[in-house]
Amino acid sequence: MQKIRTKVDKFVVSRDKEAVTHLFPGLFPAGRQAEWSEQNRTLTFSIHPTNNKLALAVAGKQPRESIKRDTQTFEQDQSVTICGLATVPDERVSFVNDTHAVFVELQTTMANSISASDKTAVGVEGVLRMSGLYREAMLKQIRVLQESGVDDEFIKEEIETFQSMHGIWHLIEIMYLTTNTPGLSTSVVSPYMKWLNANFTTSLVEDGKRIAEGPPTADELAERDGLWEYLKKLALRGHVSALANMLERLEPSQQLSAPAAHWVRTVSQSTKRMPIGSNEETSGSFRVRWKQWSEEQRDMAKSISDLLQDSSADTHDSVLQALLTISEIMSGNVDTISAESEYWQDILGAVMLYSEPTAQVDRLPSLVGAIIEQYESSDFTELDRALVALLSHDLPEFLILCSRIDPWLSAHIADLMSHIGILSICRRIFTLDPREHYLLALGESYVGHEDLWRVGLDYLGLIGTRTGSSVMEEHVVRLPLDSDRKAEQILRVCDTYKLTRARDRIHRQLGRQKWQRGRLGAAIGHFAQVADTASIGLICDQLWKEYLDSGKLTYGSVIDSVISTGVEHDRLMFLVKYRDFHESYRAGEYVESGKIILSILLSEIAPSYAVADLLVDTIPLLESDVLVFSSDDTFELMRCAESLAGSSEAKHRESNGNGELGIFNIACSRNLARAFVMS
Amino acid sequence: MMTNNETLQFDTQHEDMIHDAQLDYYGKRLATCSSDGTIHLFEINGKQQKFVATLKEHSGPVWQVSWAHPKFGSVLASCSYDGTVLIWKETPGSGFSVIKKHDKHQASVNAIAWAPHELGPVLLCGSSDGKISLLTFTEEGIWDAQIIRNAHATGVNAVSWAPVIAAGAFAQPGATQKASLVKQFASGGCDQNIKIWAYFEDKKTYDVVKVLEGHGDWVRDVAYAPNIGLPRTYLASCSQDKNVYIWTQDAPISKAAAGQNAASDWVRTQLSSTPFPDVVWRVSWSMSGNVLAVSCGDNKITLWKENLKGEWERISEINENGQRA
Repeated sequence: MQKIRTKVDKFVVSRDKEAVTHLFPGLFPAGRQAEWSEQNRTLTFSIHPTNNKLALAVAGKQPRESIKRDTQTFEQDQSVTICGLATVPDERVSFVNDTHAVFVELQTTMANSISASDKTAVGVEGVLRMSGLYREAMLKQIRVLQESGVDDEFIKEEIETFQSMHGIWHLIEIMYLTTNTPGLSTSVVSPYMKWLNANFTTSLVEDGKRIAEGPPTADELAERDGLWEYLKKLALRGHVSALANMLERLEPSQQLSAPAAHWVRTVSQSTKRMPIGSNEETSGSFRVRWKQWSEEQRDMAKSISDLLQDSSADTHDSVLQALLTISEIMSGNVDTISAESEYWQDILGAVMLYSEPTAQVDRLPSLVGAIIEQYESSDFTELDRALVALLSHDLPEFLILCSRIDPWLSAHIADLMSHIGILSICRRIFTLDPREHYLLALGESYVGHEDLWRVGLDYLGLIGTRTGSSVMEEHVVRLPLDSDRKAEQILRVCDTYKLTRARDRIHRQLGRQKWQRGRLGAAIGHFAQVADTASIGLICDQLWKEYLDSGKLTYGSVIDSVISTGVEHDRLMFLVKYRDFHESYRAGEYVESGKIILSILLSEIAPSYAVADLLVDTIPLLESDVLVFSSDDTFELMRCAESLAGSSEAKHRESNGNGELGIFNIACSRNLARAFVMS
Repeated sequence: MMTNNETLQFDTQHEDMIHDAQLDYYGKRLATCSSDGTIHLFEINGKQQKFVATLKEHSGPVWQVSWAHPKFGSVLASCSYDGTVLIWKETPGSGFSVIKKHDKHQASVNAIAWAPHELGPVLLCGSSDGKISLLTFTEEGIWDAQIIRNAHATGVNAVSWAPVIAAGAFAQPGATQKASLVKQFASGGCDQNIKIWAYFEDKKTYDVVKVLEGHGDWVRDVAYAPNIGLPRTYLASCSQDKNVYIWTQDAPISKAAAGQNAASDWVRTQLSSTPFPDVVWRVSWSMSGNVLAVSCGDNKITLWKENLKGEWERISEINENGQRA
């Protein structure tokens, strides 16, 4: 047998967002596929049953006999490549484990909420709590990746993916759990602004630190680079207190013209007066106050604009121009807001904040629709599209776009949507059930992972559908039973999810495995779990044969360990009683040992091939000084011998000519005579 | 771009072209077969492989290998250009040996497939002589060979067993009982047809229940998807005509009709809107039946999955030459 040469080290797989897996180096030389195809070559493959891998090889389309003699041979003809298609990166394992725990708890919480008196409240509260935990896990993952110090393309993409996932998750939480739950419908504006500031960070914080460093005097502040751009951003993002404070600090500056100083003070004071709603105030009252403030902003914008157009004034006063922009933003001027915004999300935020501060979730579709009209859709990222679909309440489209961002996201979002009752519209539209579809894909991607197989099984099992259960069963029986601990874990999973057929198959597999390794007690234990009496019988036969071959009764510990677990089997009882017989005989308790061996024979628990040996074992007892067997007992022994006569075992013994059964017959006759005399 | 160093490449030490490579039930063993007339066996363990054995009994190129369900032991079948099918069994300590040589075919045996384990150790074989044979290890302990003549007049290229549990029947009581098991298979041949065969208890034989027409050239492979509880049966086929079709058959609405031989119509869907660039040689489903892998003569393997809308989407592609597709 030849030793196989391997060349494992120079091969890598890469994949990108086009879902193409590249092999480096390729199975064929680059650019020569057509030529190889003409040379009778194609690719053959076998899908790995569990772990998202393919065994891949260059293959001959026709056999050697059927092809032209001058067909070339290639070194690659003999290679097989086993490559992964969708592995879970190591960097994600911790995140997967964390969110798996949340997923499991969410399913439990929702199952419990069904039996609660106030189902909706318990359900919403539970989902909101779990949603927060999911987001915490995403934020932690972003932090961990950022702090990893690794600066490669993959880490950058992962950070971007997790930021996208968090942004989407946070928004769906606001739209369906925070502001728009059954019995509660509040303004989406403030949560939206918080979402915007949390997920679409700008340079606001850094700019703020730089500008406020010192702290500067009013004159120094007026000369700081980027001051007015910063103030405009504060207005756009709704940081009105910060804006008012900054303007207030700027006002004494001698750098400002007199009109500019006046308007800095006026805008600052006006900004401070921006109405803030509270639970104590009715929405009607708030709207009246808002309207007044908004008109004040418009008036202010108009006055500044008039001033700038006044030929006697300095129309190039950049401070006045910036104050005009700020006033226009705060008066809800869409054109100014659009012109000043970096993201479309900023426009939506500012428009809502300054024009519709009480807008609820149902206003979002028309607002976002009007805003994105200004954009080329080709400029949109998958994240943009997903957010627009969500804000537009186009949940089927949203779900599909989530799946393009990450399979973790689509699976967990579909699950969340199902729990909060908004997946039904998708279920009506799609051919397949989205929750099942995405959770299956996610669960299967984890099952083949060395450290995540348990997590994967939970995802499959907790789908709660027949398909999920079937797929789980197919996977669970194929998991490598590497250790006793792992086998126990797998069996526990089977019990948890009531996979009785899989459990039975695993016990049989473990039984065979232990048997092969000589761990006969453990093997019997597993076979007993599935009532595989045939296999237990065969192992007992093996123990008996080993005893006969060696003459040493060494199976005691094996049998005791099995019996202590409550396993019942005739053959086992036979071995136990036979061991007891030996022990009592060795202790000189002949009467007791006689009773035991007789009970073995009468209860017919011994295999037929062992009966002759048992009868031979009675000879010393029949011949002992003490009368062990009564006449009735002796008749029973003789009956057993009679039933054995003519059997292949008896013939075999006779042909061996050892005459043991003849001696047994004589011993019986003598014992019978003694028994009659004694009685 | 992600990279991954878990890829394993190794030399099989075959002396000629490989024709098939198959992983076993657990993905722990790989069997390869070649024009050199041998089968090579490897143990695969994560990032390592170990050569186990060379099996040499065929007298011609070995086309396909197929692992039996592990409940029958460590059993492998192989079929060859020499017109024979061999069944190999591993005995602890003495390795693999041939336990059955099936030589009832008069030409190359191109395809083999073990029946679902619930039906017992039954091997389906398709040959260039136009016949299909079923090799069954009977309760009496002998191999019984049943021959279906003129299955595909000009040669059989592919065979595949249907799942034993009927589509839509999972939730029904007794679906896994022996009497309810579906006994059907599909075959594809040089006559451009796919035939669906079902077992008739009264005749104790398999007979054609449906001919699926549509391919315009030799059918190269057929593959039933495993039944994971979906309400329909999926069959994939590929052909010399560069097309891949997904044939679906809805489960019968009434419980009474949910057993075998139910005659719902088959619906044909083209996997991709345009034909593949070259002959499509092989179609194969993942274990749970939700991913279809397609091997094309353009030397790419593409993976496909049904999306939420019931359309087939390419989810991945293996590009063999290291260049962007």
